[in-house]
Amino acid sequence: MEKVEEVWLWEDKFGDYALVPVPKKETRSLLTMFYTYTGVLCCIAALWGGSVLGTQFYLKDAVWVAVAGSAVLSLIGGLTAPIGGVSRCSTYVNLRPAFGNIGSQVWGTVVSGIPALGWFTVQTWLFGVIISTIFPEAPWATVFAASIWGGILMLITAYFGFRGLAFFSYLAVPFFMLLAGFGVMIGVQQGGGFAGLASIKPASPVPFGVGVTEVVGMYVVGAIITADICRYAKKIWHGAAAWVIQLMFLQVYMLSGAAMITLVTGEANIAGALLAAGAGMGAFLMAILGQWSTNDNNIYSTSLAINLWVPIQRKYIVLIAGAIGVALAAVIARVWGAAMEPFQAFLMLLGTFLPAAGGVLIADFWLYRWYKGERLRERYQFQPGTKVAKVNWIGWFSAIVATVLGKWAIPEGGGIMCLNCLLLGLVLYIVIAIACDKAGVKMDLGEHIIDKTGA
Amino acid sequence: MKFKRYVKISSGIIMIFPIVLLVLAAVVWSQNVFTGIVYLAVGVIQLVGMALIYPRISKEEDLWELGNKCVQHNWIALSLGLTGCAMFLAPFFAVDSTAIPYIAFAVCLLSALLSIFNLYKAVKETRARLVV
Repeated sequence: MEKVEEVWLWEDKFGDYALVPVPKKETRSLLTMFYTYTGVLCCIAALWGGSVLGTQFYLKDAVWVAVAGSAVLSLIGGLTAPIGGVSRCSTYVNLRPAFGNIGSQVWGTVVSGIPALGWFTVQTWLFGVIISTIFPEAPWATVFAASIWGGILMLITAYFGFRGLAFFSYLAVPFFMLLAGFGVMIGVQQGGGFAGLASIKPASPVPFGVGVTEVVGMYVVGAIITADICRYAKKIWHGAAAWVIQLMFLQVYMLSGAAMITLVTGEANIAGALLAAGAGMGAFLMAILGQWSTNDNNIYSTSLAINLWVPIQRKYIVLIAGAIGVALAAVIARVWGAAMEPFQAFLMLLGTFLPAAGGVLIADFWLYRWYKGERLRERYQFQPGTKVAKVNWIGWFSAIVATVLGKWAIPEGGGIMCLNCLLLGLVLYIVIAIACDKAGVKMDLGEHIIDKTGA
Repeated sequence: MKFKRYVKISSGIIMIFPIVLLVLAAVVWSQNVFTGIVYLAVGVIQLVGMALIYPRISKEEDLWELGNKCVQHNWIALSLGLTGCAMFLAPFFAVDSTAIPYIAFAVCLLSALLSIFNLYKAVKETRARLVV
């Protein structure tokens, strides 16, 4: 049978298909999806997340917390990734039907632009902390100095877009995974085998749900913005499959490995523990490759989100936003040095504001479009001339109310906060949207016509 | 096809290196089990990664697709080669014989260098993408 050439009517004015669908000929394999997602996962922050679990749980419980948290994240990402696979557009373009054009700009910036820039800043600072731990005497390795040169390194691959991210992930991922295994080895060696490890009492125990919230909060932004990567997937299911596999296997393995090190050494600073245990250059390279392969994705997502309302080439947004992130990291380094407070505070903040928007997106694509009788492959098929609302008030209302309820109305201990927000957003949106549809109430305010540049 | 033959031969050469690693893993197992495990892990993944290229290219007639597959498998060899280079000389993996870690290091370096050359050749001769 002859292959049918895709008719692609767009103009990629801003580069890297920031506002337009990725053409079929540019799509990539399942392996590339897997590597690129895993590149995001492979970072010192993930190991530190695991080491926090090591201070809070017995080994067996820590593993179950990691499994439960990863399962929740798999579910969220498993629902958002196919949206990118179907539309082949970034998360922020996909937000247009559920929030309207202005809504996608505002919520895209709130959901991803600012948090991803925040992550970029925090990870850049973390990089400085790790390098200063490894080379405490070197003037180029102070938290301040390393934050600056490390941040600049991370901007390089993000500047080149998806190709840069994937290229670097190919190099960094296997390395980081084996080094995470190094953590398991240290734990087993110093803890007197798995039986010895299992009996070590955690320093500051917390309830199971708190641990799951921490795991989910750590990566919930990534779960919501999976489309940024899997819009490049060859098949719709590739993104979801790559996402779920990397979480259920690799994240559980990394978190457990880090928890083991902390249980044995009592050391929350993983790079320091690795160095002390004899990882040699491995600890240094782990810091560089791990942080780099994660942080370039953060600033990349920021650039995609901001590109919706700043009509310049995406690569210039990387440079400008990146410069701001690096400067902020340097300021954090000056003020806090190597203290952990900014990292912990930032994790708490993330769990609060983002998931409701993800719930609205999931509800609109999976439930409302299904209710309207649209087939899966017909959903979110943007073309030049496609009309979208300026504001979809139901999306705004649902996301705001869900966030307020999830954060302040549900008492502590009433489930996992970010998951509550997501579910509330989902339920509110679908209930109100169907009710309005039946009552003949319009959800769209104003009209925006997408031009051939995707703007 | 000339390039297909090149891929088969060079992949075969690369596969020799992980086999050496597997032998070293067996040798050091009783001295430092963790060293044995890490040699085994790198060796097995690299070996399987390269071995899978044969069934995948056996019926491939499209030069560009052939190049893309060559790129995929050589990335695995390259990244694991670099991983070995970075880890094998670490104090944690020291064994009684000082020569063994250096042999393992050299084996990884060679596999990394050959896979870099293969990547270059695939891109040059078939216009394959470095990110597939």
